[in-house]
Amino acid sequence: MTGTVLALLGGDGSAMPIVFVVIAVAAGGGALYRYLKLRKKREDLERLVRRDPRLQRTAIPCGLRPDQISWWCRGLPKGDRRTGLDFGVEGMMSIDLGADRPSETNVAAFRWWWEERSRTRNRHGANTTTYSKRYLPTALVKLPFALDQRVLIRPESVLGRVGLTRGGQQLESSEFNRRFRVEARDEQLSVYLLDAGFQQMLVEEFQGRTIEVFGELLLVAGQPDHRDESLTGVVGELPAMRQDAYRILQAIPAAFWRRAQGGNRS
Amino acid sequence: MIELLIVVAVVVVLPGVWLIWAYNRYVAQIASIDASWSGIDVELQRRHDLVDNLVRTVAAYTDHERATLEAVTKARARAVEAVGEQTPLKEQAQAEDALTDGLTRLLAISEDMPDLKADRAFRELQNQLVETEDRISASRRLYNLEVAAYERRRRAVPSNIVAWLFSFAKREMFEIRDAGAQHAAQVHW
Repeated sequence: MTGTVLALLGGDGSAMPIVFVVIAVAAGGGALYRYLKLRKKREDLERLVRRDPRLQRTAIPCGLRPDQISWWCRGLPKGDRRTGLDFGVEGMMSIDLGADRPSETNVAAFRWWWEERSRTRNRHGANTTTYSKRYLPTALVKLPFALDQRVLIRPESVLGRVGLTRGGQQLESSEFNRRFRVEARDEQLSVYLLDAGFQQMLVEEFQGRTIEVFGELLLVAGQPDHRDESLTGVVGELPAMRQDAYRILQAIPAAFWRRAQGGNRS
Repeated sequence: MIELLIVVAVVVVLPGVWLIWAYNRYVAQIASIDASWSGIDVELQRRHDLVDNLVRTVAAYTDHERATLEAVTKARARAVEAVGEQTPLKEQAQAEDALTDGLTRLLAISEDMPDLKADRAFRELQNQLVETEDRISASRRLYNLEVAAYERRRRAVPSNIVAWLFSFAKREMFEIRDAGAQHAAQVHW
C-alpha cells in the first residue's frame, strides 16, 4: 500500500509535502464549512427567537433535562449510547382544552439526537464498533394537568401494515389500525383520545409520527411535512413542530380533557 | 409407519388443535364482550342515579317546569326498566336516547335560572353527569369494538365453522347518541 502511494508520488517521496498540504486544506475546509453551517443555524435560531417575543432558546424544554425526557417519553428513541437535544426553543401558547377559557401552555420544539451502534468485521476477523448520530424533530408540551396513564401512538411496523404482526389496541378505522400502533394500559383512556375525527386527522396529516401523552406531557415526534422556508436546516422545522403540536392539542376531543381534569379533581 | 403418523397428525391432530384454539378464542371474546357490557351497565346505572338527584335539585328551584321534570322522571323510569338481560339492546338504546333528550331540556332550564346555575351542588351534579356520559361513550365504543371483532370471526372462513358447530350466537352493537358531547356545551368547566 505504502509502495503504491510512493510510486504514485514519484517514487522518492519528494511530493509528500504537497500531499500533507492537500490533506490540511481539505481538513481545514471541512472544519470551516461545519463552523459556517453551525453559525448559520445559530443566527437563524436567534432570528426565530427575535421574531416571536414569547419564544426563547432552551436546553431544558418544559423544565426537563434530556435524561429526564429520555426517561419519561417512551416514544423517543434512546439509542445505544448517548442521547440529547440541540437547537431547542420554547414559548407559551394559548390553547383551548374544552374549558371556559383558553389555557396558557408551554410548547417546546427541539431536535432530539441519539447514537446508534454498528459493528463491522474486516477480512482479518477484527471487529470495529462505530456510533452514528441520528436526529428527530420533536415537540414537547407541558399540559395544565397530569394524566395517570400513558397513551402512546406510534407508526405501525411494515409487517403490521400488511396485517401479519399487528399489535396494540385496535380501533374502528382499519386505515388507522394499519398506519398506527396504539399502546395503552387503560384502553378507555385511548378511546377517549382517539375519536373518529382524531383518528382521521392522524391518518391524513400525521402518518409516520409518534404521539405520546403521559403525566403532564404531550410529545409529538417525527419529520414534519412542512417547514419555515425563511429559516435554514433544522431551525426551519422548529416552528413547524410547534404548529403541529398546537394542531394536535386543538384536535384532541373535549371528552379526553374532561377525563383528565376529572381525574385531577377526584 | 412414520408416513402414517404424519398423515394422522395432518388429518386429525392439527385440525383438532385448531378447533380447540378457535373455540377457546371465541370463549375469550365472549368473556371480553360481557366484561365490556358490564362497564356500560355500571355507568348507565350511575347516570340514572345522577338524573334522580338532578331532578330533585332543579325541582327545589322551580314550580313552573313541572311538565319537563315529570317527562325526565318518566324517561328515567323507562331507562331503569330497560336495564336487564331480557330487554333487547335496541329498546334499551331508545330508552337511553329518550332520557338524553329529557336531560337536554332539563339542563336548558338551568340556563335561565341564575340561582340554580350558582348552586354548587347542581354544578357538581352537572359535571358528574357529563363525566359519566363520557365514560358511557368510551365504554360503548370498547364494547362495539369487541362485538365487531367477534362478528368478524363469526362470519369469516374457517372460524365460522366453529361458530356454527358450537352455536355461538350473534351479538348486537349498542348504538346510542353521545350524550356527553351534547350536554358538555351546557356545562361550565
